[in-house]
Amino acid sequence: MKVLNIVVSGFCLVLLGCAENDGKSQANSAKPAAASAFILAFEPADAVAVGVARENAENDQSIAVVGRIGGSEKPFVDGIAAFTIVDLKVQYCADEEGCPTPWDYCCHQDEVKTNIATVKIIDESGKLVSGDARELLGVKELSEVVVQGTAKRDAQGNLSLAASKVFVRAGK
Amino acid sequence: MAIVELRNVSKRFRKGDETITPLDEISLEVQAGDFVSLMGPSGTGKSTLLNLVSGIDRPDSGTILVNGTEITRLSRGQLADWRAQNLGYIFQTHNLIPVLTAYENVELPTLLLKLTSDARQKRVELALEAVGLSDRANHYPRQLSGGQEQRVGIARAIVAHPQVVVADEPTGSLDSETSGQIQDLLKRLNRELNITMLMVTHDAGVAAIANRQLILNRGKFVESPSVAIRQESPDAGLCP
Amino acid sequence: MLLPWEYGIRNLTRRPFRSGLTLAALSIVVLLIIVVVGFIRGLEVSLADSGDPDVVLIYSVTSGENIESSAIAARTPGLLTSSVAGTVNRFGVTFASPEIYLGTRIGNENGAVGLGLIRAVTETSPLVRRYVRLIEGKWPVRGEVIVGKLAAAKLGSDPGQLEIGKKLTFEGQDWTISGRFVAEGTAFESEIWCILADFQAATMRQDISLVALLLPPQGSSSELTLFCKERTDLELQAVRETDYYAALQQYYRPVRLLAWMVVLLVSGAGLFAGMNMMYGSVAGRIREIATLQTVGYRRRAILMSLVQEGVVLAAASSLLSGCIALTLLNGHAVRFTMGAFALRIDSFALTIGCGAGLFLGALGALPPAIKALRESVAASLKAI
Repeated sequence: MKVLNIVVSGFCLVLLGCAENDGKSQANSAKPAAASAFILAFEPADAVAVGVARENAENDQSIAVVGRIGGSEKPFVDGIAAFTIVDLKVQYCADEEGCPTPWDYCCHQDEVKTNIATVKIIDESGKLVSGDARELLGVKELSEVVVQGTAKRDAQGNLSLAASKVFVRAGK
Repeated sequence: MAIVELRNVSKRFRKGDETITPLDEISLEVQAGDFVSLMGPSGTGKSTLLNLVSGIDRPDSGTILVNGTEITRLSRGQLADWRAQNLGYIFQTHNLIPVLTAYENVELPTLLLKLTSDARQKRVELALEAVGLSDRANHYPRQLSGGQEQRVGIARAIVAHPQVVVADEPTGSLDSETSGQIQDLLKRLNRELNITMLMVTHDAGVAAIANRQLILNRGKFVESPSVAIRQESPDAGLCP
Repeated sequence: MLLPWEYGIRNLTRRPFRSGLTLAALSIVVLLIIVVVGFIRGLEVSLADSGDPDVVLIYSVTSGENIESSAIAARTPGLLTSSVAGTVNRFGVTFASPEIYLGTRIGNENGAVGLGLIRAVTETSPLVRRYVRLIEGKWPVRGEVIVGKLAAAKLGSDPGQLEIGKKLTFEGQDWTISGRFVAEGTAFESEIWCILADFQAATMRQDISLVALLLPPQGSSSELTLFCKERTDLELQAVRETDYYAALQQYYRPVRLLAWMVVLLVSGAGLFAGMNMMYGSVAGRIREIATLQTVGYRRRAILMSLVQEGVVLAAASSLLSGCIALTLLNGHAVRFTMGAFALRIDSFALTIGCGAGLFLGALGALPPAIKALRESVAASLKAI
């Protein structure tokens, strides 16, 4: 019986250990990078939704777009400060559904197609910033952001935003 | 001086709902160099007594001293070590290890002693010589007769130079001629090596070789009136 | 003090038939463990080695992790090479390999049909698929194919049917084997390669499954990834080939778990075989064990000797099985869904197999030995 108790206690400790680690890594990844030059302190008032921007934005127009980071299993691009955002009106998988990657919008992919934009962080000289946007902006999947930059639209309706500043909403 | 001393030793067994008491508060003193035979009807506790003296069984009460050591206080492991140093056991059915040769069987107890390999070899050879089986040293038990097997068993019992040798019906499984040879051998060992012997037997003729004969009946000893006289005719040198 | 080594060894010869049966049973158990671990190792190594770290695969985002179900526009390679810098280009040739990859039923000249893997390629493919080496014959032209070293195993066909000059039938057309290739033990070795245009005509397909692009050493796939994300209309994804096969390893995780379960179950059977032998062996030696205790041997010494017997038998079994596995089974081709791979009887498989064998030998001896030593010595001396 004693042995059984030790085994069960050990198992619980291992489980607790894993759970704590998970929590820690999530907290770290969501920590705002206060020093980042790309962070906006105040949310732009005139931000439009991703879906609206895809329809109305002109090429090379300065614009503020609000959206939620996601759209695929890996919305961030490794090695480049770039990611995709999805219109806030598109529903992502609810927590209680138990989806391990709710930000891929697997249940609403059809809506995502017309409500997604690619955000590329650029520096003052207009060059793509290398590095990880998560570290640069203190964001993670499903973070709500308002991106201020220049719109690029191609003939197929794809929308890219060359962003110089990003406001990260509190919360997710 | 008493080399084996039993004080108020009792041993009980449970057999179903019944409790049997083969040994009931018995006391006994055996002097060094004695040859004691134990007789009695079946189930009177003769073998039990032998097992208690050799430390392979424990009494329910009482104390047993062998060569000054109170063996009833020793742990199982300590008893094993004590037996290796102080006690030889001769079995009725020889109990040789079938996968070992006669030499290796006799060598077994010496492996437990701190001896050089030369000294060990010498002891084993002398013990085999003492029982007249030097020429059979490399034979396996299955290649030996019953009498030869018992001789190997006796050599194994004496090879560690124990103070006390116990023998449980040592001739019980032998024909009369071989039995006689074994009896002679035991007598010589007792006389020439001055080994204290405790022997259990059913056979009054075999018991007669002892210089002290005890009869165990209803849990108590009865000393036999005919105390054997120590025999004085050494006909072979046995001292290793 | 321990009992002499000979005692344990010779006891094994006491009941030669029983010992022989146990040796056979334990050998089978150890062999099975080695084979199953060899299977796991073969699968893992095949998948791990299959990815080229400098190659990026561009395929449909909707196909998930399965290239076979991917269909992308045939113009994708051109779009990629014109839009994205960073791929290798020499003498005006971009190292990009458009391919169709699919599993289909393939018949041989004997009429036997098996499920095989076809990769339709172009002349640029060998520039990207650097592991692939033609070892016999020539590069295919129209109506011809080259076959990988393990293609016969994947098809479940006689290797003689995949010799140069033999014909294969798939997608309603006959194809002549023009060459054979190896690919350093990677998954490509179970494939059959033909010319892309030829295969598109045969299947009446205009799309392709994927584009494989070679990056310069230490090159980054970031721009390709970004391109795929920006061109959401194309529904592409860029995945490093090493990541693709690593994901496949995850896909085969249940298979590997199942294989490890088999190892455990087989080990359990081995444990019972060992225990059965030792119970039988010890049961016939109760009086002998009591005699050894009477002589002065401690229980621990006798226990060690009994365990030694089990371990010696298990060691012999392990040695036998290891030799059989190494000489007869190592490299044996195994067919599975995404190709074929070679059983890998390496040091890891041998260590697990032989280690399990020795462990079972020791563990199997313990319960009967403990049971025998728990009995009273006095009572055991009277045992028949």
